[in-house]
Amino acid sequence: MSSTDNESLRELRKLDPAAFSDLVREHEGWVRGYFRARIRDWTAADDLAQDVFVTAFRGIRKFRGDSSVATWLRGIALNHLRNFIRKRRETCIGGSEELQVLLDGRGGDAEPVDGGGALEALRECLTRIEGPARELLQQRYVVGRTVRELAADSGRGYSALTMQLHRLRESLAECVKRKLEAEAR
Amino acid sequence: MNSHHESIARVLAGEADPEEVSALLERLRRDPEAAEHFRHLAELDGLLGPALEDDLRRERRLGKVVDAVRLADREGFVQGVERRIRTRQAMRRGLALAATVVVGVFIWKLAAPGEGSDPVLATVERTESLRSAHPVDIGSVLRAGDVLEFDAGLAELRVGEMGTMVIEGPASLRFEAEKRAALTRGRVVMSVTEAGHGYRLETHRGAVIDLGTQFGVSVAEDGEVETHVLEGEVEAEPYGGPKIGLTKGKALRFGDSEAKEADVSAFYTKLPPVHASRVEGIHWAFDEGSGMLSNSVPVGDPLVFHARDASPGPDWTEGVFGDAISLDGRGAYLESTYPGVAGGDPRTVCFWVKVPEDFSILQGFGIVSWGHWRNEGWGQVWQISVNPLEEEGDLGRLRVGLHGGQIIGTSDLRDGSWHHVAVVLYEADQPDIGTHVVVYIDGMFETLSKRSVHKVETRVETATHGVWVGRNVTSEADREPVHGSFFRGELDELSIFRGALSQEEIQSLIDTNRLPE
Repeated sequence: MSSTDNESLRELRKLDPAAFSDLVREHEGWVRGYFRARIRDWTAADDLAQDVFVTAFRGIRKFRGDSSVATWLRGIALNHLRNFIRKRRETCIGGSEELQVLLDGRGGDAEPVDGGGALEALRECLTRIEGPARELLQQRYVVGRTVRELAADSGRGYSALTMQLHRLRESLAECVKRKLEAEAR
Repeated sequence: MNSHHESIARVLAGEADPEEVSALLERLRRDPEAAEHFRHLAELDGLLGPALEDDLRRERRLGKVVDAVRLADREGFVQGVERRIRTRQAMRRGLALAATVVVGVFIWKLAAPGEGSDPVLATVERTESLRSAHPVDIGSVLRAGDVLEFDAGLAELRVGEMGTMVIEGPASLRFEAEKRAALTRGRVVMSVTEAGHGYRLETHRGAVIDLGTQFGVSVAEDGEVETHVLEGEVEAEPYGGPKIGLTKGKALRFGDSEAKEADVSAFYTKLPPVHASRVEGIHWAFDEGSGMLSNSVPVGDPLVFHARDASPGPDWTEGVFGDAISLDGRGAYLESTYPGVAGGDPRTVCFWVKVPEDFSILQGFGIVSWGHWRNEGWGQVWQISVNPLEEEGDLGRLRVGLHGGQIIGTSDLRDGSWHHVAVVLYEADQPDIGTHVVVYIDGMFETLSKRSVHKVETRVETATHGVWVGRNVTSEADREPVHGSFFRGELDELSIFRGALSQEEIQSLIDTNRLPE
């Protein structure tokens, strides 16, 4: 843990919501992404992300700073995810709890994609995508339209659109990977 | 492209069937490289939403999360106090008084002067019509970590040597340090002394820092945050954006990049002054029960029944205290020789009203009105109505209009039940509909949903009629306003006072139909 983190932790332990908002600002994006990758219902995913920060705020005094804040938050997120899946198993990615477990590992200890770093890298990679491809991503991931709805509106085949999105994701994943590797060097 | 790619694409599109998912799982279990590939794509799929959203959406979402955290903070505080009080009670008297815990929370927290060792950051100096789950006593003090919270009404605080605050509920304000407070919801106007320069008022969207001024900050129920500079200068610090300097007359909605014109009517800048002597007024009880007029007290200005068009005129009905009048919205109204209160003089108008459930937008104007209406005579009439104009505010709420400016309340009156209404214009150098008028419904301070600025200049000298009951002040002998000329509903116990009544006096009228002795 860095000295900045230690200073932040001291501030956070004063249970000041204003100071806590900086932590929310830094981590909210990837925590939401964590749930969206595992749950098909994105509204529920966003609500769970909010719950993570409420739990973190209530438990900040118990956080000793042995691990990074991101790792601590991920542990809280995993607990919320398990509780949620217990009640709504069908909303797991692919409708399969096993696929979700494959993402997190049996004990929830799979090395996560570096949430914060990956998100920033992804934002940079997205600047290269413009025009109809960008609009397609916007409609799918921000507006929240299904692939079938997008296919119906555009008159394009559902399979073609599914595979276009897949290729866009692969291209972005490759870009993110390169950026993260370059940063690590 | 091989089949597992297509399966991954369909899983991430949410369209894969169970057989395909099973087959994919089998493949991923056998092929660690494919599993790793799937994991990266799924993680990226999750991050795309947060990565693509614009700053505005992001700020709104962050605001929601921080609000939830603040709520948890408040709940945690209450629970913590409950625990401490329970422990004390257990030590001293067992558990017999556990039921008093909630009532005691803020008495304990908002301590009397002299209690506690931390410095006092603010003192409650006055309240007006405060509605709160917890008592907020005059003179109680706030120290670092204390939260002032109430559901409705106004509170005036002295913030040490730093200045004063007028807070409009529903509000929640936490004092954090000598020059720092956090507003979770509500509207605050802070008038800062020289010693208070640099005072920082924080919200979930950003902070406002005083640079020698009077400024307002509002946190609306939907999370929108605005600051308006009434005097001097402030610096706004939106989270995630550049600092913006604002001078007198400027305002900023957090999330916007540019300042706009300040709305001085958006805030109460002071509490209604307390009047020293008894307020004189005129009263119509509507207790005659028959005939074509209702006498006034003092005598001399009866309200006389009139009928226009095909209306049979006002009718008598059962009221809250004795009889009342019924108005048909088709031409029935009453008129008095009493001219009403002139200019910007303080006034209070009180009455009981029953608005039908099947309220029509053509029958909302005006319950009580007076003044000289002219097309260009902005601010020169005074009319109380049930709002019939959706474009200016929610329908069915109390509306007070001047012709050119109006305020609209939040309580829906369209329920066929009697409600007591009191509209108070209190004394001010430049009385304004948005800033100096308060409304009480059933004795409760009414939160306003809409208000616009306009000086009150009621013109009675040249008016061609006195006080009207049930007739739109903009209607004339040869002119039918498009929004209707007559009010439909029932009315009882109308009073017009030449001064601003207090909430206690209004409550006395509700309870006893008379002012306190």
